[in-house]
Amino acid sequence: MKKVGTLLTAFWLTIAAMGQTLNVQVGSVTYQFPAEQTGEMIYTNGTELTVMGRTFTLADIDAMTVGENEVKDNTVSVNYDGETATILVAGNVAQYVEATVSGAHVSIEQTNTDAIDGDEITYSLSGASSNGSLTLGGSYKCTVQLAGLTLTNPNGAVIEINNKKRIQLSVKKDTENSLSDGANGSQKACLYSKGQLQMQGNGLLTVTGNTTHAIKGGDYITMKNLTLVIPSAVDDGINCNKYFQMNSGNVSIMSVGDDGIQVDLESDDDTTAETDGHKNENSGNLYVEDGTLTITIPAAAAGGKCLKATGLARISGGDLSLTVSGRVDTSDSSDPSYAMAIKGTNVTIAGGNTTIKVTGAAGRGLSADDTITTDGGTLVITNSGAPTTISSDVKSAKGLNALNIALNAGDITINMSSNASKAISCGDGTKTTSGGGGGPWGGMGGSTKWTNVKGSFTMGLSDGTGPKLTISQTGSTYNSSSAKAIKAICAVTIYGGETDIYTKSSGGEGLESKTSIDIRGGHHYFKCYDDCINSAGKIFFNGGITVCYSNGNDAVDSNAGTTGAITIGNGIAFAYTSKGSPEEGFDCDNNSYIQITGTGIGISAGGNQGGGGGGGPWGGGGGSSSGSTISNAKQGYAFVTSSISYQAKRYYTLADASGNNLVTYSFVAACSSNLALFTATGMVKNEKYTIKYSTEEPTDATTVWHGLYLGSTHQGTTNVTSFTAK
Amino acid sequence: MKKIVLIFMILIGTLTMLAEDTYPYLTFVTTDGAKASFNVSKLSFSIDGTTLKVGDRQFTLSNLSKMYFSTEDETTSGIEEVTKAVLDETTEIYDLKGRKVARGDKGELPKGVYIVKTKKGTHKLMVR
Repeated sequence: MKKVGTLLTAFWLTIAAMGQTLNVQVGSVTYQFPAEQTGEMIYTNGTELTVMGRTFTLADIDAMTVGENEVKDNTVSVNYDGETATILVAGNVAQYVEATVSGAHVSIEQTNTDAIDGDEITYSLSGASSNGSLTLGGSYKCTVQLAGLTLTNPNGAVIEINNKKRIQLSVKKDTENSLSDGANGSQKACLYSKGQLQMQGNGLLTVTGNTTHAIKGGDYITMKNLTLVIPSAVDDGINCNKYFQMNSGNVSIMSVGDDGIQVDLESDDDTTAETDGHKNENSGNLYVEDGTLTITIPAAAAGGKCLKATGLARISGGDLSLTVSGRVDTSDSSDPSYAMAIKGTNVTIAGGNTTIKVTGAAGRGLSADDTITTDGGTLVITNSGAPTTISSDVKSAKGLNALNIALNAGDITINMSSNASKAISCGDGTKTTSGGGGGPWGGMGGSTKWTNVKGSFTMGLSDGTGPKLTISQTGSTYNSSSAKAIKAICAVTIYGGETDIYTKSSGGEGLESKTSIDIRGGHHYFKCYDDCINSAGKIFFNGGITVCYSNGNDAVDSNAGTTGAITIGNGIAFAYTSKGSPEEGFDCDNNSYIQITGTGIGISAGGNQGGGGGGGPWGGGGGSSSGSTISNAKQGYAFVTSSISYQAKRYYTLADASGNNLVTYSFVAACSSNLALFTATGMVKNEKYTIKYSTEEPTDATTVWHGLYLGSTHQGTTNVTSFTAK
Repeated sequence: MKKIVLIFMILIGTLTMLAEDTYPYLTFVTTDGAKASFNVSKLSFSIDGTTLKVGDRQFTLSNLSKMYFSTEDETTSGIEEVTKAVLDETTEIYDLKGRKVARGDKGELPKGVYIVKTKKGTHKLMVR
């Protein structure tokens, strides 16, 4: 059947090739009129000849021949050959195409304002020249096909399309095409289109921008199928207005002086949000929906971004590899510009696989003026950008940085290794510092308050689903700026998902909020050198399972300093520190500040409850003033202040007087506890409870999460302690 | 295989038919209505000032009114009208292959182009 198809194709091609054609040559331009289309060709006054609506001045005609050319309607073919270019114009569009050639510089003006024979004009470009170009004007849509073109223009743009209508740039299948413009020119780009630029085709296109951008669109740019390589550009790799959309294909952008892809608003049009089918859209949005996108921003690119959108930058599919090495642009000292992988007013990761590597000073993975949202996909950020000081302020690297962050779904991994860096930074407000001081006799630096707080951090959705979030923070403090996993000025609400957070050094808190933290669902594990969870406000465990292990500070630390500083609701919290006193499992300055409002589980282990004494060498350890009663507890609880020496690889079970397992827990490392809170589902006031351990790990737990075993019948064999619940 | 051969033969046949439908002539019409057809095979033109040279023929540009591709030779220019009186004086009629043909009982000829010899000379005759 294929053979038959091939024969038929060959047959029709043969038919097309056999037609007689009148060729009228004027200079380097030959107009080709198929015999079956010409009809009567009119001579006028011995000076003009009109063929298919095109009038030639007879004196201008260099040659007329009749041959058996194949003429494809609606096609204008431009062939570059060294210092010359020749053009073939199909007869049916001859009256609408005015072409001039100077050397290998071609200028074409297209005059039709509607379709011709139901179609648009296709300009097919081929050949090679080291000193050539195409300038195309018009007022109706057209196609520019690159069919094996190698073109350099040392004095300007290589392709400049001033037609403001939709331009389809088609890279012919299996062809290789290369465009390179001149340096120090006045052109807007090597490849410029004033109108909407739809780039597509199954060929290879290489574009080098030696004056500014490699590719510039005065309107939107879409990309489908083609393989596009931008080896270098003085400014942006691709720059366009209205919106950018990549549907498929393979795009590589390297060695740009500014951004990989930048999208701006068209100032002459009204601004819109994303529209249905992107019709009349002027959003400044950037969409990557599929394909392979590789962008490398070099170290020399100050403030360079791989993807930069005035509006929304949304990744919903494809494979992205974004590398940022650029330094901070301090040309505007009041508004430094950082190297970033993706920057937008809003940034959404909804699908695809995005891998980001940041090495530039104070560089950022994702950054949004407003909101970063993850709705799916895989995101991996590895950021080693060093801190830098600008106007006496430490500027540090960040994985995600936005006013609002909503991690709704997806698989997110952030690896931070630079000092003072933050894997996630969100919220804003007015910071006021009073009292204290940072000297050796000072406390913890007096008090810092945030007012006019804006923004939010959420993880997961109200149905309990959420992303998988993995953070590794190995950086240290730099000029009093600590390296943290999550730092939120704003309130933090965690509805669901799975968290695994690790920090290595002093100051490396796992989750910090200057406002409040409310955990309502999900599974969360913190293994941090500094506080696992820290808030200037209240901390709630209203749902989910949270395990906090600190080896250098408190496991959970609230500085709210009031009743309800730490609340055990219906959530499960297992918090311990191996640092020893004065670091605590639950640190809220006073045990009586703890509230039990639900039927969850709260188990802590660590030093005595400290006051606000501070951590300096002479700072107070606190504790003696702490109460030991929780008001209005919804279930039984106990503070055990006798010394408990917990060991790793032992499985401790809290059981009631009947031996019923309430919970089994184990430790990563030895933990000496002088203050332990016990409250668990089913605990009743005045009832007796015991802690026993065995070295046999529970095997029948319904839920296992980083040392917590729920729903098990495990029984300890060796007594640890016992108590009567309050 | 037989099917392919069959299809190929059909295509060749169709191709032949289509080839016959192409335009083998380019016909020029002068302002006085005269026509001159040229076989377009390897036909070239050249314009020299006020003259258009087509093959070995020259036209004054100002005398040309139009041209068009045609399926047959429509040349009229230079051919004298053949009258009945002339035909009556006919001594011999040949077809284009040089074969002598005879007229019918009523003196009619089948459609075609003929060479007619009379006492006054030789004429080209087209019977439609």
